Amino acid sequence: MVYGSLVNKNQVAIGNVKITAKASGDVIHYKRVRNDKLEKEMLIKAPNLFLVPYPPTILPEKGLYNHLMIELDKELAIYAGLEVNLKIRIPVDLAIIADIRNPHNTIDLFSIDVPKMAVYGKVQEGLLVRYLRTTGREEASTTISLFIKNCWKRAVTFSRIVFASEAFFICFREGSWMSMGPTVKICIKGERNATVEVLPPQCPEGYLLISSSEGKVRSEPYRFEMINGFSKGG
Amino acid sequence: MNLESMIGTIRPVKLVISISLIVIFYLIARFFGRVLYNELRKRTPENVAKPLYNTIYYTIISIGIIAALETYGINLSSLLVAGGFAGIIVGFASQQVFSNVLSGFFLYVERPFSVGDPIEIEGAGISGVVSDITMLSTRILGWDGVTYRVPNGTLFGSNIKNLSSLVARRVEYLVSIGYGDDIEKAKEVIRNVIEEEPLALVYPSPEVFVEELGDSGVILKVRFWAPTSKWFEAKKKVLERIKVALDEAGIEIPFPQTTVWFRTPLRCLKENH
Repeated sequence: MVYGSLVNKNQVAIGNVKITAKASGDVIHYKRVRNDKLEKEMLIKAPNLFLVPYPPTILPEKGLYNHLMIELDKELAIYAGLEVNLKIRIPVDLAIIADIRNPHNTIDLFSIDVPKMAVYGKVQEGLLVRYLRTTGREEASTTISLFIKNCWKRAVTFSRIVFASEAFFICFREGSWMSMGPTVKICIKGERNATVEVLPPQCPEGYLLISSSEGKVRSEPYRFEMINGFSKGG
Repeated sequence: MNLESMIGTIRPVKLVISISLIVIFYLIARFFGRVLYNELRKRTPENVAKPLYNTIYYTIISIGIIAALETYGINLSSLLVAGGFAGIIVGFASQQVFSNVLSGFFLYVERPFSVGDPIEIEGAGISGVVSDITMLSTRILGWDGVTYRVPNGTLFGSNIKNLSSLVARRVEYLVSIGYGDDIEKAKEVIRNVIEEEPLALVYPSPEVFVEELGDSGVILKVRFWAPTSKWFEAKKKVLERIKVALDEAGIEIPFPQTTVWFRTPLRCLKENH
């Protein structure tokens, strides 16, 4: 299974989720089953259905959070003044849409894993965030380019990155699992302070762009102060 | 003094002075009242600003009227004495009202909650969402769909739990398992249920630990955090799933049992039919 058209394909499976989209006349009978348990069933009047990646910014419920927290599988230690460039892969949600040119008109939105949330910082002053852990799987995931500079005078260790969910863009290629997420630039400025800049990815030719802010691409990078602590245990 | 003699004593100069005094005090009341109201509106809600404005406005107007009457030599001491007595009576009668107004003011200053916050008043058995706060009372739309009007005096003297002041709220259960059951297995089953629930937060981390060795079983304490707005939903979903998961794992949830020991062996009588 890959991103793209679903109709006239047999049952497709992504992890423990199975999807069927059977065309019967001009109506599509859509079913989503997880662990052999029916989760969603719909009759859809549309010429086609597409499976696309979707920014992990809505599930489990819309409006609960405005930020994402990525937990790296390995802790990073950066010495004073040094910079690290790395690519990480994080899980994304999946959407079923009828018009690939209008990906925000979703028919179904789901996640392969259980969509989890967390409090970033202390409960008394923290933010509710969508929790994402780096993954090794190719399907339903996207790569994020991280540019982390230790702008501070001392070495730091950290394993969590927080940024606004409204700045999440994904470029994906139909007919494959290939996708690219935003570029995140971090400048660590103090023991509990870092500036985060989120830039949309540069989509190569043939890729489609989908964003969490309904296609509105920001002209300026999104800036966020990780004042609740970026460091280990933050 | 009859009406004719009163009219006779009204002289044009005094009339002009008294009217001027009333007009001046009216303008002062209007000006200061408006300035005060505008300033109060920046800092306080309408239900606090408006009564304060009215109090200041009518006090200044009253002073103006008293000053105007004084120009005619009308002695207000008897009026003030009568007013004093009336004030004492009204004061006693409206003690509760003033207590509520004052409590409303202090509640406003302290701000233990705002309109839209879910709160619980300990001891009163009232819990719901604050729908309105006035000078005298606070309206709470209860979870049972009933609207409660709670006097501010009662609120001020009560312990108030604001259920929405933080982004997350902790859910806690006590789950009892049999003495013969594997504690580690039970803890793992419960942890898996929490992990599978989207509304159960990853951080702060959930906790499952032995709370007590009870009379009937080992009592485990289960703690996890959920978004404040989804606290009740998470609480009711997870407990049910824990029960199902423990049943599926073959872990017994014990009920109180008593072993009765007899000092002397029981004798059984056998009837012959």
